[in-house]
Amino acid sequence: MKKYILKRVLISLATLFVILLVLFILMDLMPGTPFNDEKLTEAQKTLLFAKYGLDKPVLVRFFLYAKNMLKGDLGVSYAINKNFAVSEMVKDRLGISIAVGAMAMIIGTICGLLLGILAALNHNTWIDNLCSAISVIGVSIPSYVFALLLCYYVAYRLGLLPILYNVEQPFISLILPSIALSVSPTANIARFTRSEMIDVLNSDYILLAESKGIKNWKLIISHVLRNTLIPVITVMGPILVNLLTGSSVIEKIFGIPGIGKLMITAIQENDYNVTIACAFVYSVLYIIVMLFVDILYGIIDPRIRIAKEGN
Amino acid sequence: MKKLLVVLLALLMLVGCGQGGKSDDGETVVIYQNENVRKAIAYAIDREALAKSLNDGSVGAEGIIPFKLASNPETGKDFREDQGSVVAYDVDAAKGYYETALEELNKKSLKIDLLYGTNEGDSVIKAAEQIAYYLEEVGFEVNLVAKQKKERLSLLTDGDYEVCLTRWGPDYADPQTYMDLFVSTNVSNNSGRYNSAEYDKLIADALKTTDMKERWQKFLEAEKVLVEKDNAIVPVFQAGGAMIIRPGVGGIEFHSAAVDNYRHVFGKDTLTLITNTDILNLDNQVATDGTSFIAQTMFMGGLTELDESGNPVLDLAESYDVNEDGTVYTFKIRDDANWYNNKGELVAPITAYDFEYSWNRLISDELASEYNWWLDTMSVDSWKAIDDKTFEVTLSTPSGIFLGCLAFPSVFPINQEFAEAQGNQYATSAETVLNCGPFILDSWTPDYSYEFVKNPNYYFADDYTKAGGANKVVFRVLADTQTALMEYEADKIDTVILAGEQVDANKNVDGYVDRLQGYLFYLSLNINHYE
Amino acid sequence: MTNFDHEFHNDDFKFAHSADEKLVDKNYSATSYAKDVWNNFKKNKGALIGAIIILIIVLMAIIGPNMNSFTYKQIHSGQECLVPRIPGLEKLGIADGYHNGTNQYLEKGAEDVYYWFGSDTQGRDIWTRVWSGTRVSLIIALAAVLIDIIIGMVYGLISGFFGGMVDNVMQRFAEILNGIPTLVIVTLLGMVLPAGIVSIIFALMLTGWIGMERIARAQVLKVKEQEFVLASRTLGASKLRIIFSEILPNILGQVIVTSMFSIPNAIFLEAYLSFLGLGVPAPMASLGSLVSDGYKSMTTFPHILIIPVIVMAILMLCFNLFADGLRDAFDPKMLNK
Repeated sequence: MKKYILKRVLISLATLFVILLVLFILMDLMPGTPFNDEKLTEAQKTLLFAKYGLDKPVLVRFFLYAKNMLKGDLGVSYAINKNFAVSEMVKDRLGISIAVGAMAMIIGTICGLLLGILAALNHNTWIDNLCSAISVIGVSIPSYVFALLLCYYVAYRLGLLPILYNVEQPFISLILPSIALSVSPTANIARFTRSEMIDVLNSDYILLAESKGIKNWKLIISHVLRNTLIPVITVMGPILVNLLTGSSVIEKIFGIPGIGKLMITAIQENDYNVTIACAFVYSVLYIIVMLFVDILYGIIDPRIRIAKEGN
Repeated sequence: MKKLLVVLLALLMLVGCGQGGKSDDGETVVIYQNENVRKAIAYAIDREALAKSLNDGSVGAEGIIPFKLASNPETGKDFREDQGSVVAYDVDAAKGYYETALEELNKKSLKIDLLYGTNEGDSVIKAAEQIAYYLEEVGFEVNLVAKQKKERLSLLTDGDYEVCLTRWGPDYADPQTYMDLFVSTNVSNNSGRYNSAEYDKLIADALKTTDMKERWQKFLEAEKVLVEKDNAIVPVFQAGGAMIIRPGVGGIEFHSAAVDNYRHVFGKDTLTLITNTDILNLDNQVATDGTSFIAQTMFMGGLTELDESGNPVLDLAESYDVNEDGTVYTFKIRDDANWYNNKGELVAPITAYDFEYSWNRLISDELASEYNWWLDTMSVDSWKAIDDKTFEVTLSTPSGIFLGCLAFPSVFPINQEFAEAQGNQYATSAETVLNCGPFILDSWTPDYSYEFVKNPNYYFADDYTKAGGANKVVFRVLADTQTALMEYEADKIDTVILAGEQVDANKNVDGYVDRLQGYLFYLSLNINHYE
Repeated sequence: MTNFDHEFHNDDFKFAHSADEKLVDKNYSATSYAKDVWNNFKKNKGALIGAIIILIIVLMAIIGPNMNSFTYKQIHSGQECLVPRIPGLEKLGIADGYHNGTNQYLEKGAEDVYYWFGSDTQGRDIWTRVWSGTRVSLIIALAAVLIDIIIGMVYGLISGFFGGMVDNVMQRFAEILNGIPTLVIVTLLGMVLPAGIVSIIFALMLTGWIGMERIARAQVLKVKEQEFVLASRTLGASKLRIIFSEILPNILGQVIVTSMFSIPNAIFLEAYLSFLGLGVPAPMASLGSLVSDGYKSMTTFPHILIIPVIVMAILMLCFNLFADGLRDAFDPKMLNK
């Protein structure tokens, strides 16, 4: 197992290195520069390029950046908050995005599992159809439409919750954005849980357990649920990272100073260092989550554990 | 990996580009040098209807100089009132010009690539779609080329476009800010490469003369040559902006050709205002955007500030002398003008050396400020601090805009000792910048809010309090206009910026304000473009 | 020895499920795989309805934009933001052009104009725009998924079949590409590439094929050790032949099902790009761009948003139902349970 984890970590590091290179090349291919502005003359542009070292070839910049990155220096912003250290900008915003993402994930997991289990236990009945319809609608309507509906009815009409994010009451003011963001994970998890659980319910070992006379609720908890949850965990990783990357729209609506909005602004402003840093942070998160899920999966599922140790 | 990507991308771009830029025959045709093509475009657009449908207080342009930018030095009349309209909307005429142009160019049809920016506001996208529609009504075949702002501007400066919907924001209240753009020697801004000896001479004469009346006349004539006679550019609309300000709240002074002034806001003890973009930088010589400039005008100040009607009045300067030919200004800085830190503690008095340092810094290559040409615009030749409180500025020629331009944040003073002690950290947070304005920057949480508190030690603090000024002003950053309006209606914020249909729906609401911004949107025709 | 005092009764033993259920020997006639799938699919009513609605929407996407006199980019100054008005229905009080108690059409001097779905903020007919938008969205989604299938399947087949070093290298490559979050890469590509349908398809495709590749590879690994492949191999069939004529048909079902699930995904990603202003170039419309445009006037003129949202939701719902049904049909294990 240790050898396996080590191997996975090494591959992840190599992957991250390549991702960084790809991001640099993409930045280089991006049309326009951070210094395209009506008010700038050619002479000023040359000056700015020299000042920020953008006149050097892309590979030189890449290795310089990679070297500085090991020291925790992610360069400075060219456009959004000019001359500000990118590491600070990202650090300030990452926490809150993770908070919203985590809250949405918790809500999504609970609701999704409940819907999925309910649907599977009542397979081919109206309850199943209703749960399926709810989850499909969840993935069919963009989250910003939900967000605005929530704002209008829950916050504006009924006045139950604040609309805008407020640093003084972070929890209360993050409830609405988390709910809006949780719609799609709820739906995804519900659908996946349903199909996995139906599979498990129809499997031979459940039939065996049933015929051994194990009580219904006990059967579901100790046999069906356990075997359903293992594959569900694998889809939760990517869903979590998608939540973090996809939150830019929600952040805009609720005025949350998060990293998703930062990245979108950075991309539109050609702010290379900020874009690379945000995209790279997402990639790191993604790879860590996937690594974690992979290892966790190995621990929970004995079949996989044994297979991997055999390797 | 890299190679694969590059090859794939190159292939794709080939496919993308293959569709545009083809000509009927192999011949080189310089379309926009044809006068009738330009006239057809100019006459095709119904500017009134277009501006109205933008639904944000925009108005149709009557020329390249916007409304309420500059007034006649003698009569005080607006430039547009003096000039009248130099553009016209006439579909039949446009169709006629189009037919003539086809004959002259020996073509069956004309195709226009219309370049515009996708992230420069909804009104730009709407306007581009409408312009395309009007041009197609006349007979043109229009291909809309949507680009992100940075790319659009790079195509524009490289001259790699046909027709581009672009804009200019005036830096000061004088026709010169627009007229300068189209002289043949301005390689950075005259991207259409308009080259007219007549126009160049008029502008050169206008800038040379010290007779303000003659200068005004030259500008009037120049606009006629540029727009009415040559149709070198096609003015389309002047941007508007609609907002609601809570009844009872006031003191927000809008300047279409300069930085809006929020120094005199009143009506509540704590005011919460909405801004749709965040401060870009607290450093007054690094910032390039209106939001930052507004903030800097609140916690900092210059030798002058602008009053409600946009005229310069003294701020940090107590008095000034000017020599006979109007080229040497000697400013006396107030004795009670001081630097305060974030906690409101006095740090140092403001001296002439702070100005000297700041202006030297502005033009230094090290800082590479995007506004390093500002002093040139003001015709400033040299400057020096005579003593602690005396600052002398020498101009190359007398300038009517000099005093007004001193109210611009790029030329605000900076305390050398403090700035150098902070090093790289200077102006990165409320703690690392000094205050010398009526407000103290209390805090700044990027992307969230920035808050000002009244400076009780400011020299006009008593007048301000008497006028009922706010003790605390909070700017909340919120880009979404729908949630902003809900917040306003729930009484959580005191101003709200309206967009699109919200404007129509709220026209009769108490506190509705629509204002004209200085931005003028026009079509830049690339005269040198050939197929 | 044992004191066995239990008496047997008739109802001691019951059928596990239902007493009425009788075990009857079935006589299975030989049917083709495709026919099996069709028969299975027919039984699933939801999937059948889904398929029919998809067909209707596709039909509307083809003929809808030409059903009235408007074009998708025709601007009518002075007729902005009109609510739906349909001849016939208006007499019943539905879709009669009334907004806040006044007939907008009379107010704006357009008495004999009928916008069936209303008009948008620039006075363009929403009916025409919705259906031509549906067309664009479907084209983007179908093209992206089709390319995904081809690339992903070939890649997965080769990787899985040859194994060893080839597999290792190919899998590492896919892993790296997969390491970049989808939304990040799609957004960046949207910026780098020139605006247009081709670019969007390319951006969607670049991240979509990996999922397809994984499934193809997993299926190959499952199938390739089975007897019929071995038989083919011993008979001297070439590797290409084995891949394409022995293995491919066996994994096709799974791949088709996955692609049906990817279509709604692609439509959704396109909508996300539209919201960031990286969608189809104006004045062209897609469902995504219509929804993000409508969002801006949601609180004032909700019909501009609601109509494309409904079409989009129905389309995605039906694709999901259809894909579900297809999966069950391809997988006989899921049936009769």
